[in-house]
Amino acid sequence: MNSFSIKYIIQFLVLVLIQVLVLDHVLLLGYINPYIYILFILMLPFDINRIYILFIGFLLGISIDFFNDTGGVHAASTLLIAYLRPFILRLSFGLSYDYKSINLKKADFKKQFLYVVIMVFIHHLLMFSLEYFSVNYVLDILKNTIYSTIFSSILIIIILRLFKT
Amino acid sequence: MQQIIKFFIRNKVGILFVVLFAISIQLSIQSHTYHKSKWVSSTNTLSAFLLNIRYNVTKYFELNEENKKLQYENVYLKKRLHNAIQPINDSVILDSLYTFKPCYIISNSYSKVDNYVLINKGLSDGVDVNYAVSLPNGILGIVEKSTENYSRVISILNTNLSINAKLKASNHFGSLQWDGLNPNTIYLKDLPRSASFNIGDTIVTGSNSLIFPKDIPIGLIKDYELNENIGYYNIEVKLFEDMTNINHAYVIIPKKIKQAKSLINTNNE
Repeated sequence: MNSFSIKYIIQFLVLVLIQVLVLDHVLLLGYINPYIYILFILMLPFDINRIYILFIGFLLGISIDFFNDTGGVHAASTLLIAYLRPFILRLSFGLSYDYKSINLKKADFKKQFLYVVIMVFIHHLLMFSLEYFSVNYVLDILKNTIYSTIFSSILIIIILRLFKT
Repeated sequence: MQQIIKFFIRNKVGILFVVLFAISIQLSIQSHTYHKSKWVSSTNTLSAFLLNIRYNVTKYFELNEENKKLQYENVYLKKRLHNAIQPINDSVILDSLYTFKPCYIISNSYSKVDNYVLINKGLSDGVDVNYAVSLPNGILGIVEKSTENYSRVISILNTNLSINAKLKASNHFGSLQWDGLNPNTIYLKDLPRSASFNIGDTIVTGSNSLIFPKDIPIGLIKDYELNENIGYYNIEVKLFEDMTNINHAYVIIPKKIKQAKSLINTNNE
């Protein structure tokens, strides 16, 4: 086990603990809950094996589910963004993704913003759809997705900017 | 054969994704059905342990408010005790049908459609599945899963649960259900047309259930509408208890439930 993987294990644990012990109990304006744990998926090295990232996504999501009593809601949504990540990277960073030379923290703000917002939006949309699990709640699903996407994205971008090193 | 293996190797990412995705969806569907054994649950040792640590840290911030609440509750009970027409002596209490086990809520949730609450009492405290849990000013739900030291309660703020409830003034009853939206309002459905009531009347738990003792206050009638087609009222009830700010609860342990159940069974035969 090298220092590289230890760094990621610590990151994983810290993000899960912050999410389940602090953020899940902070409801902004009464019902908006920010989800920042997916930052882990966003920050993984861009050339990581696609099999690994699927397993990591599933594991990350199910850890959150174990605290929130939500079955497999977080597992499914985190798995989906883990699977879609290469496509979204190409979409938001363009050609440079293929050269494996981009650095998320030092990237152009516009590209970074696009990447974070698309990933967060897809994750939140599937998560709220599975959580409500009924077509009767379409408007609530959309409302919650949009509000939570705004808050989660702002938090994630602030964290990325703060810890630039 | 070789073709098949080659196919699997070529599409391994896609196949792995589909398999894991199917597992998560299956777990999600299970979490939306009541009375299904759930593997993913916060009653597991690690989650409950960490949530308990969190509770132990944060409980001090709410101590003042919590004391006030308990005092109000005591005042209410003392009023009932000392103003009772028949004096209540210890033999009545010993002979009662239910015992109450105090517990703390270590993880509360109210912003989803299917909410669960984790409490810090489990099998070793005599708490078991299908026991009712009440709050100082209302009801919390029914115990759904118990481990040694923790239990998961299916909250009344869960669209899968429906509880028998009635008007305080008469014996007309209906079923109490949540619509998944506002954590302060719940709906009393299927109340017969012949019932008469006014806005502001109290709703209490009904006597048609072996889980909840009858006459626990739940909330006030806020609004109502009559469904002309089927002739039943649909009543909007405002809960007495603020479900977003609860700290302690009581598990209601039935003492004579087996006798009652065997009686019902012999009647049916």
